[in-house]
Amino acid sequence: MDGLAALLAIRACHIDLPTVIVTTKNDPESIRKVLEKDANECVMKPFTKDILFSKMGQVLGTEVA
Amino acid sequence: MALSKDCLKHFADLIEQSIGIVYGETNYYQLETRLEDVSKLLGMSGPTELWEKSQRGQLTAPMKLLLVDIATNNETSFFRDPNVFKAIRSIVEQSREGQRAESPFRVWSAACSSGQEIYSLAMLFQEIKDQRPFFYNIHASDISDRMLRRAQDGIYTQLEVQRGLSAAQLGKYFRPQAMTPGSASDAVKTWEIHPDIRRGLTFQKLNLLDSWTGLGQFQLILCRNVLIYQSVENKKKVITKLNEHLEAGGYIILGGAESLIGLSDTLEYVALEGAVVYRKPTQLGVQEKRVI
Repeated sequence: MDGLAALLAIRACHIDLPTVIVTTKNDPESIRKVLEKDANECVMKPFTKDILFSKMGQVLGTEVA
Repeated sequence: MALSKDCLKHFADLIEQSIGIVYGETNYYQLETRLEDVSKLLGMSGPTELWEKSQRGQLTAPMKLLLVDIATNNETSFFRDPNVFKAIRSIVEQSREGQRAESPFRVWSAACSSGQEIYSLAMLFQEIKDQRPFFYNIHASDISDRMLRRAQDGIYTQLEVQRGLSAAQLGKYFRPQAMTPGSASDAVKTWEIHPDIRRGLTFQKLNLLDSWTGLGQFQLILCRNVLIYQSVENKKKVITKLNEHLEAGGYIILGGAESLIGLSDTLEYVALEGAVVYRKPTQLGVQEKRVI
């Protein structure tokens, strides 16, 4: 099961779970697909720890401005 | 080998005389790292060689330029300090009341660095423009040729675009560049800002400590994390000059750790959307909140 399939499975259970997809696919079409499938955010490789934490913070509404 | 205090002071003095940025002893560790970067870029064995060349008067003008360039702190990200951008949206909305839509909102980014700030502004303005007629000009200046070129190019790495931009903003406002041909993932290496977002932007090399004219008046001036490195005297000088280019009722925004206390008695402190901004009073003097 890849990330997109996992996302679909989560959404199929009607679980309102904030979701950040981490992917190697960073072309616009792949980004669009992930967001269309209702991911809250997408992190593309390469990324750093601060980028991942910042995106998670944004999605969880805990990022300190 | 660690550089001696005398050596670091020599470079700190040279940088202060050129661009006014002050490296105090507490920041010598930062200066040393930057001197290492400069010497590496110049193909030298290390900062000691740079120091020896400087002592012998062998630093050429381009070498000095690079030294001064690297000494500026260019750390930045898109939508850095999100509250500032909320405040700017609020300023735009206030300023548009009673204004003709075609009269442009003029913004000056006084130290635009590699361009993330100006393109964040342009993306914000584009969002406003999607909802109502809105015209704007963004004037971008920087002391560094290298940074100004980067800002004008508007090309960013995968890491840079992920600092502050959402995936949706990336897809909407940027175009992929340098797809790796034949790779399994067709990975994008760099992203270029969309031409529509570039429209309405002008660029200029400018040392804020020099005298400048002809920029006109602005409704908003951003000078974030620039004055923090300057002496009190230079801070006052720059603020006075920025104020001359600010329309009555216009705003200046500084960095989160910066303040105008003791530097200006004409600009008012205003807390807006969780950000600190400074407002030039209108002639009527209404709406003042607190005078510094």
